[in-house]
Amino acid sequence: MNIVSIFVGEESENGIWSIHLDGKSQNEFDDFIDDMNNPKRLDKFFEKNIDDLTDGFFGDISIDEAIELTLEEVGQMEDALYYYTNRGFDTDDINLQHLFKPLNNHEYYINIHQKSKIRIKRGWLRLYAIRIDKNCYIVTGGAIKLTKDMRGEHLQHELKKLEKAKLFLRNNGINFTEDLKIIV
Amino acid sequence: MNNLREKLMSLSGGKKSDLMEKIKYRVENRAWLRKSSAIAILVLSTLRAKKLTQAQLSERMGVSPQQVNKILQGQENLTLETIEKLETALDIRIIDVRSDNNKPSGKKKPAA
Repeated sequence: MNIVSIFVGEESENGIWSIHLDGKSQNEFDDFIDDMNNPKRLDKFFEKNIDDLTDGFFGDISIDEAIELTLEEVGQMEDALYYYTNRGFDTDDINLQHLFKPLNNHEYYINIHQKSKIRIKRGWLRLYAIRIDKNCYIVTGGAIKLTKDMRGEHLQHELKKLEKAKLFLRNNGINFTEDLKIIV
Repeated sequence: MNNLREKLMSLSGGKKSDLMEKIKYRVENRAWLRKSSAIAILVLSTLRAKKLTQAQLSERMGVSPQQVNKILQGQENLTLETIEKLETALDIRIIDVRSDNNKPSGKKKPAA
């Protein structure tokens, strides 16, 4: 495992990093964003998880609609990241805590850019990250969360990556506190 | 604080992702990329409805499977020729340009 910088402040450690797993061509954050922009991959995902998609939590929704919603949501996520990185993180009024909204332990959703005209009522994209300082996050991955719990295979995979990343950081002398569990 | 930065920089070996450049590109080209994605979704949906494989689609279109794969990833700036091949292969309408709806007066005739 290694880490790579995604966007880091000039004079501080503020910023977003990501883990890069051995044997993979790119880091986990890049992988996630690329996948969420890929209709073919999304189609495959929703076909595989059709039961969770149609069980009613998100209403009666087709695979096509689910892909469109995901593309819309990741587009808004990208707008938010673009906006924040252009502003910089080293001012008091702009920091990553505005962007990374905590849900549960190490689970976040990206706060949609306030100027966005379209708000998705219920987004399902989740980022998994370890916050090692007020404005410093190491992303371990992301997922489409169709269920309230973490039972899905793809979600369990995210939890495993989180644990691996925590071990890696601790072994390399980087300490962090476990986030408080917030039940949504 | 700087100690943490040094540790992270050292661990990363200075490696930097180009994700923000990719995001900038997508933000700046959002309009046509959306259309490319919409076409990909339509094609995927049609393949599912007609129980066709990507390989069968590539045969019908007379293009390589790799090209079909690219189309379905929704990032291609498709040519009109490719769109026409998709329409013919799948018997669907992707774009519909009617000359009588594009008069300079701005008034559109109702569709026939």
